[in-house]
Amino acid sequence: MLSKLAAVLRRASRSYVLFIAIGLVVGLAIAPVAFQTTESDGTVAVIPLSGGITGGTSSSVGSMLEQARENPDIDAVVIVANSGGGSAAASEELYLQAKRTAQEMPVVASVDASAASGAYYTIAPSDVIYAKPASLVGSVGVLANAPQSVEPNEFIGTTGSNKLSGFDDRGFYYLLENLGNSFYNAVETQRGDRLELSRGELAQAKIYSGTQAVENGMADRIGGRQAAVTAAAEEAGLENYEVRTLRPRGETVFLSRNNYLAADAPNGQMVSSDYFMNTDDNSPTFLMLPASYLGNDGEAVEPTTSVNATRTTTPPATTAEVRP
Amino acid sequence: MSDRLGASGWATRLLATGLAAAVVVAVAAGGAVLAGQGDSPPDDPLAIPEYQPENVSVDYVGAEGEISPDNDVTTGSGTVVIDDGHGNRFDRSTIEPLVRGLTRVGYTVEFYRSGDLADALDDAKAFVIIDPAREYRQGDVDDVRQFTGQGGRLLIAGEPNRVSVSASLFGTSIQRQDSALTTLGSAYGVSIGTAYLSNQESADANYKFIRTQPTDAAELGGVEETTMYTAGAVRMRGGETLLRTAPGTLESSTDDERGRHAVAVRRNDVVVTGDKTFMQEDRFRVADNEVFLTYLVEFLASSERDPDRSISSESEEEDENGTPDGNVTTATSAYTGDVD
Repeated sequence: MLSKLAAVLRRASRSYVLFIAIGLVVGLAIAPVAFQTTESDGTVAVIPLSGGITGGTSSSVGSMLEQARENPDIDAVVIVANSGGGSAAASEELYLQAKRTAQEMPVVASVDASAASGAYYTIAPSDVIYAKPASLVGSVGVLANAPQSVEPNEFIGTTGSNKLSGFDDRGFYYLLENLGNSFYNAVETQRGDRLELSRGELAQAKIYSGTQAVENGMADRIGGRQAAVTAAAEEAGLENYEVRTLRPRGETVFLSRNNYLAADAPNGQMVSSDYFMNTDDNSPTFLMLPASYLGNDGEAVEPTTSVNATRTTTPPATTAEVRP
Repeated sequence: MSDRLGASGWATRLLATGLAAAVVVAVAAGGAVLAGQGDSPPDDPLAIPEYQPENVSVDYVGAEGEISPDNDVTTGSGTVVIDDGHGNRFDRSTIEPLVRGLTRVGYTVEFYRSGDLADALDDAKAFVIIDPAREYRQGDVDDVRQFTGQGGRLLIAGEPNRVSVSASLFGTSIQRQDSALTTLGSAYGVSIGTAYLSNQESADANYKFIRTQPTDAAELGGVEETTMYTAGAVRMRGGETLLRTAPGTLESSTDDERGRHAVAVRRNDVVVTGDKTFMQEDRFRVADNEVFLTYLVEFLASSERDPDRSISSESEEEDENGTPDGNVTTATSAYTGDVD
């Protein structure tokens, strides 16, 4: 019996199979330790804010910000802005979402083609705002088509003198100014001492280049998306990190061709100004958009072939992870 | 069958049924709780002092009062002619408060629409020009100068350049509008800025709707503050500023020259304002506009025009005040109303 056992052991000791098996077991056991030095410390989430801001944009980008807050793997957020703003109410919602996020983790903004009006409102709570020299920043203000005086008339009966128009002429401007004050307050609160524009200068709603914006405190640094990601990681104390780009749901509409061409939006399309402000509609539409964006009254434009070709390189997946 | 089960059997079955029901209820309740937990719990309340009403609301400029001209200041009765012959842009709502004030002191109102202006002004005590679209020919300028030379009162309400947007079945049209007051204004050494005045801080809600105050020297019967709605700066050689903007007011043509701009100026029998809207039906009560309009009514209705007074003496008097001699010239210096 003992002699048989000894024979088996002798055969095993001469076999390569045993040594390979032992090597596999030991290798698998020490692999996590051996690769410990290259494991990610955390994740920087990149959230695009592209095209005109609507309720859909607000919901989509807002949910991405919410996701960033609730996901323990995400340590910092970079908002990449490529928008001239849009609906006033939707812009306010995004401001609140961004502000809440900035209270929980570092938020850095990178202005691509533009962060004007409602888009600037959205990124105002960012800890740092990066802009490129050709970025357009500013247009802090609100616009709306004034209500028409239609009382009295003999076609529609109402119970009150402002039931048809909603406001008298002065009341409309007071309401508009209230919206403007909320916007100005938000920018001043978030930018603090960095902002070198007076309230009057801010309210002039000028658009600045990225360079001018850094000079007057609307932005902080010159740089692109990569610089913003690096800064966000530093703010979060991450040395080794992943970058996760979150993608919005649905299509993105653009009033500005400048934004459209610059944006990395897989489902983008140009729309006419009627999409945001239809002058046939008597009721005011409150917008946080540069008025120049509303000059586009042409037909909706489908993406060109070359643009489509470029965009096919964009990963269609809802999330994409890229190493910095 | 039931006999064979016996009492203990039934008790066992009932107990089993009850337990089963209890389990169903418990599972359903647990499921409901779990379903309710599908939504994220609300985050902590976000502090947003920047949105609080006390930090957002705009101080409302009150709008109450009525025109109340003093009959002791005015000169009984007379006629005020309102120019409607130069494409003047106004409607009844623009002039109704002014007309109401004039009729209260016994004055009547007529319109000049065409024909010889001198004939239209023949019996008038005062002449009102509001935002004309067409320039005055030299003959009209001479007629008006003769009128004021005889002591007739002249009120000019101009406007800065504007863009008029109108919609029709054929689409939207955009027109530039300017007050065609160059020939007449230069005859009196007066000009109205083509750029509108703006002030973000001192306004009736909107930056184009500026608050204005009287100068210390102006005697406007208790006006403390008025509002003007898209006004142009008024510059008048040798004139007295009645109303001026708050400090820091901009002319829209430049972002750099902030200051106080005159918006109402008087020299002798001529008053010029850079806005017409302050007097209209839905604005004339705002702030002390009705008091200023009262002043204008009393100004127009206190004319002591003497049709027999010769034009030559008028020219001499105005020349002493530095007024051009009636030719169309461009005055270049000593303007009241330059920004300060």
